[in-house]
Amino acid sequence: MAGASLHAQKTATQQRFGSISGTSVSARYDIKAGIITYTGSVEIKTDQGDTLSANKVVLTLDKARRDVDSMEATGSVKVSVKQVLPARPGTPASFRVVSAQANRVFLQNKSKHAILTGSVSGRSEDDTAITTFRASSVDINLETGIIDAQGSDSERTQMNVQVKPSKGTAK
Amino acid sequence: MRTRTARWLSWATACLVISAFGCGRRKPVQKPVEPPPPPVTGKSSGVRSVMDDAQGRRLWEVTAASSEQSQEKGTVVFHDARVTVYDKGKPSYRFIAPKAVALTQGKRFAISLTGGVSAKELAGLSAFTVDRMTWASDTRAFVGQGNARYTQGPLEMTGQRLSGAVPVRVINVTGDVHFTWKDDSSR
Repeated sequence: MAGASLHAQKTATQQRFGSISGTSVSARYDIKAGIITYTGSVEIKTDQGDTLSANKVVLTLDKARRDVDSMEATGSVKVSVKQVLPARPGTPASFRVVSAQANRVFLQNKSKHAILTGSVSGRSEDDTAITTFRASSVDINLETGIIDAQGSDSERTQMNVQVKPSKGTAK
Repeated sequence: MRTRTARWLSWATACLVISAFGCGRRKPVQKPVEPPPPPVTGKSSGVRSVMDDAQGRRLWEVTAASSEQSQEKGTVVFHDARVTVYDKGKPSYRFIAPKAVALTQGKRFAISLTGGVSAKELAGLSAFTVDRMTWASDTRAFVGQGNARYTQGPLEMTGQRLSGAVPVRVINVTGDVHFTWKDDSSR
């Protein structure tokens, strides 16, 4: 668990996306504006374990063109975010996977927020619980793991699962 | 004047009579068949070709190990070519290829590079490689085909086609695009 804890600390100080790789049908890089647009069956994965697929993805770069400021995906978006929840007193670091579908997903690199809009549905899964959500708008804090579902049709169900013994935990 | 004209007429008539009766009986002399002109009309080594605009600002420059000029086709073939494209009189992009075929039509200059092209932005971080490409002076646009690979800092994009214009503000890569963005924050 020490490794996981270290990993959590490292990712907290770094950009959320880390390194990105992917495929698409076409790419357009507007160097002057610092915008890269990928269109046609876009599939992206990050070295943090996140995956995303969409019809169109727009990356906005910082002024120095050294970092990705934000990522906007539109059109049949499927996203899966692997979260490393840092260790707290009494609880070890844990992992959680949030997967969702939406019409539009906006990920901010520095604020580490994912905003999903338009017929959002998804689930969050960790060692202790499976949470499903459905809403018109969902804000996921990628650092803390808080999922804020909004909209009149919002629905949230949580199902506790049996706690699995972690590796190295004395039983 | 009359005497002169009369003499000339009589000389011309005599020539006609001779050619009709005398020369006509001779065996016709067969004109030797001339071989077609060779396609290559000039060869040079260590060549340099430049074009400046009306204000004297450089537009482009081609240097090559050798060149062959074909008047028939109106082209110049450069070997081991380095094409430097200028923007506002300053060198902007350089294309390097084993072979380049240049076509000049008036003020328009177009060059096709083959055999594996490498290109580099001279005042920036952009670079790309492609199997073959063309660049035209009037649009300043380039189009590359085959195994295109574009890099700029942490960005790398590969595909089958690549296009843009000098100065490079927008790059388009199409056809089975693969891309990577290497995280810079850990460096």
